Amino acid sequence: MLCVYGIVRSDHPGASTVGVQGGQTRIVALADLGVIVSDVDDELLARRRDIEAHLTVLETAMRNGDVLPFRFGMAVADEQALPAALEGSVPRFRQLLDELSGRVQMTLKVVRDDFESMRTVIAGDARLRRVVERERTRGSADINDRISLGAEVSGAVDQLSERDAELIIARLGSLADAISTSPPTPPVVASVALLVQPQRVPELDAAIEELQQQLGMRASFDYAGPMPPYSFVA
Amino acid sequence: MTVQSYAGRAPRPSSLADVLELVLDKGLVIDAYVRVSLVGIELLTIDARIVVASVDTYLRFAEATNRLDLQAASNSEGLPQLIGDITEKGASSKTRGALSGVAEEVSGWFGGGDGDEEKEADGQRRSGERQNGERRPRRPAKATAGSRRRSSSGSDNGRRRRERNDDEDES
Repeated sequence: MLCVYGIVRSDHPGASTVGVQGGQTRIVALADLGVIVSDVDDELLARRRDIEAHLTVLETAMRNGDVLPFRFGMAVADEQALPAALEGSVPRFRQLLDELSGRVQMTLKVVRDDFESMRTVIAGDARLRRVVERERTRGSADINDRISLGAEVSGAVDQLSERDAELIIARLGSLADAISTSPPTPPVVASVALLVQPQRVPELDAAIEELQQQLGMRASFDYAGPMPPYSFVA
Repeated sequence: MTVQSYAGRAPRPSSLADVLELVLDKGLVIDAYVRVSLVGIELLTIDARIVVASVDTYLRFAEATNRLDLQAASNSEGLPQLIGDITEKGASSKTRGALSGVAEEVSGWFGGGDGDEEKEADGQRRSGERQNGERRPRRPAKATAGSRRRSSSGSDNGRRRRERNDDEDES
């Protein structure tokens, strides 16, 4: 069986890397394009080691030229089966290679700290602060009072997260050629994939560092890249 | 500040769940061809999108207001801190239980480090959707979830992070 990693142009210098299940990768021609593949056993499992190999193969290929990444776990029976599986998509592959040419993907996930976010909203809202003070003074044990206080505070925290997300997306979107966001669920504030030109990465680094300082303790940032454009080939 | 040596950026997302979202959810697909069997992946989706806007969440926030230093927050005359209410503690840990329960399922499936892989090679994980994959591989049978549960050896980032968040809420 043949594990499929990515699509490259025929002038791509190739990427002989150790792939899934320790197999050596090679490039098989597909019309005027190339497909990065390696031989695998019949049992293709989502092992950590193999998922990392999949990433490594694509990262190596990306350093040598443009690559359209496949999802992990794609395979065909053998080389003869490749054209039937992929020929119909060749025009779309060409178009994607042109659109994404020379660009890389960067990802950012921002997760809030509930307590620090609450501290921020209460510090900035005198009315809410009075509500909290009153509840505390009364020492209310009534469950409904507790629920309505909590609902009000968590609503204010959610609004803060929404404003932070808008700020992040507006700031980073201006540096990217394309942006892809997934709907966040608390405590995730924003989950963003950016398509950028490599020379703009230092600008992006600086913008993200600025945002990090702006949001301070109330959010943690997980910033990664450059990586192949996984989020922009669908 | 030298942007060239920016320390906050890694080559890949730091949590395994985010890496998996990238390589299992994004990227090109070959229609109707062999796809690896991904039993248990559904649990990840649950972990990522779990809805916590519930009464438990409200109670957790209400409890957290007790730990807030209003004096610092308002710069006016504050009130003495009231810490540790038994009832609220109960509500809070109930929330955490539900969350870490999911995380356990996830980490159970992924297991610990590299040494865990041999154990993972049981029958349920084999590629079941082969050739003309009509069965949707991302809808594993619910029954397999329980059998995936295994004590974590502590290297699942998603779980660790969730626990850390909970601890911060408690402190």
